[in-house]
Amino acid sequence: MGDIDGVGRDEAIALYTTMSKIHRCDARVRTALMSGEAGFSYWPVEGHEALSAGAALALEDGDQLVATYRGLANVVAKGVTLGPYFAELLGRSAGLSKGKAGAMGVSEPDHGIMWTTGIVGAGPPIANGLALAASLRGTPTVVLVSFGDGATSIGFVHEAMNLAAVWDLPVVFFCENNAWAECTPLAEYTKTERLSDRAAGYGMPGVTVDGTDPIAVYQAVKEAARRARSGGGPTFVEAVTYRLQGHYFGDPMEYVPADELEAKRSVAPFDVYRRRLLDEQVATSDELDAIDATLDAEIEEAFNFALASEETDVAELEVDVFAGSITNAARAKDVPMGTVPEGETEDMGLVAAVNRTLDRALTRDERVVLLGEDIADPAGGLFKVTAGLSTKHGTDRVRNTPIAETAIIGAAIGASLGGLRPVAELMFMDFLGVALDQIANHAAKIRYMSGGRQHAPMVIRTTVGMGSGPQHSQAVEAWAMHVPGIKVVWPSTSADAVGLLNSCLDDEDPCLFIESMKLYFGGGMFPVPKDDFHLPIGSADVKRSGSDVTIVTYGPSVQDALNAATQLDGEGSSVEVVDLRTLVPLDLDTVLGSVAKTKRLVVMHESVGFCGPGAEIAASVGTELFGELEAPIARVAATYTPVPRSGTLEAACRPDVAALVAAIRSLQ
Amino acid sequence: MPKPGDAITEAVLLQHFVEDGGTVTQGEPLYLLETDKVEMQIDAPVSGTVTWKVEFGGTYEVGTLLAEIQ
Repeated sequence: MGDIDGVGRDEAIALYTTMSKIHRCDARVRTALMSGEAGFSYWPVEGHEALSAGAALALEDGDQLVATYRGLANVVAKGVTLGPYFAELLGRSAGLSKGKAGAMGVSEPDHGIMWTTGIVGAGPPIANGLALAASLRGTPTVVLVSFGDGATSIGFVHEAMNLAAVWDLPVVFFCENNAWAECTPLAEYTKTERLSDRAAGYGMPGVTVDGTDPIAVYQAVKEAARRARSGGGPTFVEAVTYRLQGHYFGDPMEYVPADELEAKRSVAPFDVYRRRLLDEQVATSDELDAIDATLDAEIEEAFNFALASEETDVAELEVDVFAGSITNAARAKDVPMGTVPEGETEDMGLVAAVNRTLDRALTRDERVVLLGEDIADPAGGLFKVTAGLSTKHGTDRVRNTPIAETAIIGAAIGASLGGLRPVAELMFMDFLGVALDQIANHAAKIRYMSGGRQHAPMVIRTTVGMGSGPQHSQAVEAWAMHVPGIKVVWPSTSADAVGLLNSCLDDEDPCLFIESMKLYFGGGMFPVPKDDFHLPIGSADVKRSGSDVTIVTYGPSVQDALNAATQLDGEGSSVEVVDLRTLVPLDLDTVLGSVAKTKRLVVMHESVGFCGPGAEIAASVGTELFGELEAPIARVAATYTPVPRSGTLEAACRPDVAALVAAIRSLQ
Repeated sequence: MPKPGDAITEAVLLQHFVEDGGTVTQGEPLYLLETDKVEMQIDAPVSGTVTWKVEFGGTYEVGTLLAEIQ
């Protein structure tokens, strides 16, 4: 008894053991679903045993995995703790994520299982960030990201492979080609004959292997991992197999030709490999049976642990949205009212204020990295916000990216999971939509979907344009506010920008930091303390005290509000201006305190009024202060139109001082 | 009654492959159910003697006890 295809007996047996474990775990889950023992969504992996076992054996213990919802084979092969894993599938309290994620959100960093996504193709951009973190920290970690053949159709995967190649990241793009993109055969969705051929277009090695042969997969992934670890960059490994069960449990598989399925089941990878070990006298059937019996006992014990686990307590519902006890509205009890400290100041516009803050962060915290389009010198950013930073701190930490917003945000997420503090720039806020899956389905949900064990501390900086037409001038802060798990910050002055950006950089959750082009140029200079300081996220600021009416606003509209207040002073009307500064968490305490005093409220923002943040604020104030208001709540906001290029139309679209003054007069 | 899909809350018990009191081996076909005109064969989760607890042709909610295998 000895070698088999150049692989030693120990490795051959290790492959068998892992394949058997996958095979039995998958069967145990389906038995539970068949018998009605439990009911949950499950995506079977029969037919994937060999490729997952081969890939896992090729990795070192410290290497990392990013998996998909059809991930049982991958995470079992990587060593997931079975009891809590099964409990997570069942959505129970003892689950890895307290039952908050299910099969689509499995992670266990102690075993290198860094993330699982339920969104097809969303894993590769995140894997890049993990690999970036590893390479910047100088650790020899390789990141293997698995995805199905169907995922090769989505743009995310293209963006990720291009970025990984150009940055020589230690990633193995592991494509599990099981012949079916959910219920659609390969020939119906691509003309590419071998999916690995696409690697050539990225300047990356690509290889196709028999995914039913664990030894072939092991050798291919081992070579890819060796290349990645030695600085040779990523590899596309396509492992070809056949999915022997439905897309989901209960799938009647009417789209699969019956004879084809029968033929494939007769050469099921697990059965074939077992026969091969016996035929080539690598092991006896008694030895393999003993392995299987041990696994059966382990799996049964783990599944019983899951079945015995309590349902998740309802008290868990609002835990893990943000760190600590922070909720979306009302200033958290431990958040003070932030004020800009006294002391020596220098006059700065917003560009210089953000630049100084990023420069100091890069200097004091080696975990901080900047990612974005054109941010490195000599361009230094489209608006020069990052000018000089790459020259001073190096292009490893201030990195130009391809024009690929999903790749940028995904890399930032992965880097944050890998221990860095990334700052990603989206050049215009309109591009939020380009990367919205990474922002809304991943960055915002990582804390919740991991049951609080993981989080994505990252900053997304973006700019609201002006004079740039319908696709480069929008303010869409309401989109971000509607996704639980991401903080939204929009300063109105240079000093507030410094204090708030410092807090975003230190925050344990993802923060969207919005900058106004209007304040970049022609926004004026503001005094900023020379010493660095923080302003708490979730604390509004009363920019002007008054007694007759409250204007609640944020961003560049704060200056409009102050101008309106000055104008109305002459008419004997005393106006209070509340600058929200952060929209999530929303400091309703300060808003309610002000309106309780003035009895009148106008909410102003430059984004569209319909379903805008003003609607939420008006509803909250109406609920809390219904009996005390002396006038209806007024909203002054942009028209329900795109932002037009025409100067006259843009001026008519955006709210201004005149509209605000008119609204306030209407309340008297 | 198993839950063969996210949207399934109930299913029709169409046909059995093992009579009441008959024996079955784990993995062999046990019964046929139907949801939204799609039929699905359910295999025996364990081996043993089958005692049916419901009428065939009826519609049952997910989670209903259909049979015991002793």
